[in-house]
Amino acid sequence: MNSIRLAKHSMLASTLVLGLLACGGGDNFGQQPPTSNDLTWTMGTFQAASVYKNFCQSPRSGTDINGNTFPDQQGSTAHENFWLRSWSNDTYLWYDELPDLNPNSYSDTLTYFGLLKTDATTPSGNPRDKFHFTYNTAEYQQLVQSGTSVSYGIDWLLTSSTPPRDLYIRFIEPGSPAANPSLNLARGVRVLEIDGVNFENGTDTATLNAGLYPSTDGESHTFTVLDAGASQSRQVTITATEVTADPVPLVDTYATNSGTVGYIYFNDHNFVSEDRLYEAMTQMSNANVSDLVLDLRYNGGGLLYIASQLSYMIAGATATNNRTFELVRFNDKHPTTNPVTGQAIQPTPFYNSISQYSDTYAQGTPLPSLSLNRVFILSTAGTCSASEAIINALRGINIEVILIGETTCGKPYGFYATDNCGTTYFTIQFDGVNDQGQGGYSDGFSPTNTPSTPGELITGCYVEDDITSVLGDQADPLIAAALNYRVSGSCPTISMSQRKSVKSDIASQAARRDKADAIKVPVKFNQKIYLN
Amino acid sequence: MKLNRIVSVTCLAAFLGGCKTVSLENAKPAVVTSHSDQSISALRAAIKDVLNNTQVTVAGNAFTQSSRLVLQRKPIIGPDGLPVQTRVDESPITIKLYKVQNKCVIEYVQNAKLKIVEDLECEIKAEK
Repeated sequence: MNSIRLAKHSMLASTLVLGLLACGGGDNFGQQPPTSNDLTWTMGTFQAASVYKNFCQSPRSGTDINGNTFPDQQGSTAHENFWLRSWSNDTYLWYDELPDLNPNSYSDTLTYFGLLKTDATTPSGNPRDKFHFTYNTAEYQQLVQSGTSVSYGIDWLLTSSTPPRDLYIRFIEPGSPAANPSLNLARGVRVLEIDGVNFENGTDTATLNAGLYPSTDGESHTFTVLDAGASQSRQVTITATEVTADPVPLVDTYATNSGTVGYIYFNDHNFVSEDRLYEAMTQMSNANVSDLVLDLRYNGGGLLYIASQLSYMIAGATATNNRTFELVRFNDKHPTTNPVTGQAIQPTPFYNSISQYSDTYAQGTPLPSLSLNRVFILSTAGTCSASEAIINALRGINIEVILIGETTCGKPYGFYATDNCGTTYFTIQFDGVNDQGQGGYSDGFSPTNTPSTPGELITGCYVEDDITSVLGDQADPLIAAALNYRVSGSCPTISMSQRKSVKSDIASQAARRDKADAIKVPVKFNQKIYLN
Repeated sequence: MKLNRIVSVTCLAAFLGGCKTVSLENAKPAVVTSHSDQSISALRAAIKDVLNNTQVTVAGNAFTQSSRLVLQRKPIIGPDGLPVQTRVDESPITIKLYKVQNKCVIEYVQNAKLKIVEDLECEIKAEK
């Protein structure tokens, strides 16, 4: 039985606890500081990153989550830059494409880090490395009860973080403040103003961010909204509270002339989702569904073991036995050993039992399975990472994935968030491949008839997401296309305007990414998306 | 789970009248019978305390269904509008609630740090 022991089997064997511990513990107390030679740049010559680790321009005082004193020692910006240079040279997936820049020439560490990434582009022309981030470590270490947040219960669709912006409600959590009938809010509602600041072009981003992402229970903000199909705006005041989101809020079956079709809307690979997916798939199994429509259109990823379990429950024991869900690859300096954990690199299997993190079911409880030969997956650009790993893993064991919707985000990569001197760095360190060695889908997965095809082609239909449709309803364009394709094998006709909009979307996405890359300040933790 | 550790809970002066030793030998996993504003505030303060004042968001129904609380990093979205932590394989931080004699005690499992939670009513819950 492929039981889950994250610390043993996982690609990222470090635990959250260890990750937090890594900020303390004094692992280099007493270490000799780097010498002047160590701080002299010689192109192509690299000292071990440990030589510079925790030597800081502004050492932290105080203690970490476990009460251990921070390991920081007095150093300089040069120390921190040299650490970044050596660490990137050792662990960055494309280290041989990095420029070797003199650390002494940069007075700002974040600026220096921003340059330590590849300039290579994907076949579609987008930057290959779109995932180069920093955070304040103290902010990054904030914790939440799994699935819980202080919010209105609204899942936003933000089309751009830079003007001209556009913001819609794409999902409202049942039972949340936004679901209060008196507010009459629904999917598809457009936000025009927040606390009197124009959302599309407003310059007061502090007010916009504060209203968009409340941080305090009981915090209220006023939104000027435009209902779908309406011409007159109206104002609503919403009060945030602690909301526990259901990661699997919609589960249904559709009776058709050719058998029962299951539908699961899956929104977040978090710890809470394990029990909910177990129950949803049990429901599918009991209903004896002949096909499954898995709605991942807004699922940005999360825990990989959840993705592995879900893939198992779709494909079943025979198809997954002794097969690899995903194998990670580091750069060629580390072909067999994980450079961060020091453990041997081992493939992640298709997990077929309940993990130790279930609140409801005993560890080791066998998962239900549908043993399907194919699955319909609904996608948009919000379908990302762990969700894409499901697509990749299933095609790797010859389970047909029929992709309905839009191109996925294209994130087959991962990293270990690494602290140094109070900043947590995210740099791409590995990618994941399936049982057949397929991976590298940095342009995402695209349905085969996508008008412009930036991604890796997967059988299916290009269908634009309709932000006003009812999720789970058979009239929703993506669901309707899946149900139609199931019986006819044909896709909806794509209009010329859609062809144009696709190209426009891709161009604007690329532009937004460039702008995002230009943002050098870390994303503020409580604001989530940096508006400017 | 073996609960045979003898753990010192230091300086719980307000509750115990001084430093005492708490034995978990007979501790049983527990759930909260009912939350009030006072009890959830006390619980949140206790959790924050065992985590050395780390900022943590705890729902108002914490420990009502399970004797275990799973904590993960607060989800964050990058400047591209997509989640940053999208390929995660970290074990969570776990807080457990026990009933020890007539007291409710939380344990930060990964470092065995304990704290009695005042103003909290809990009852023993059979494990799965």
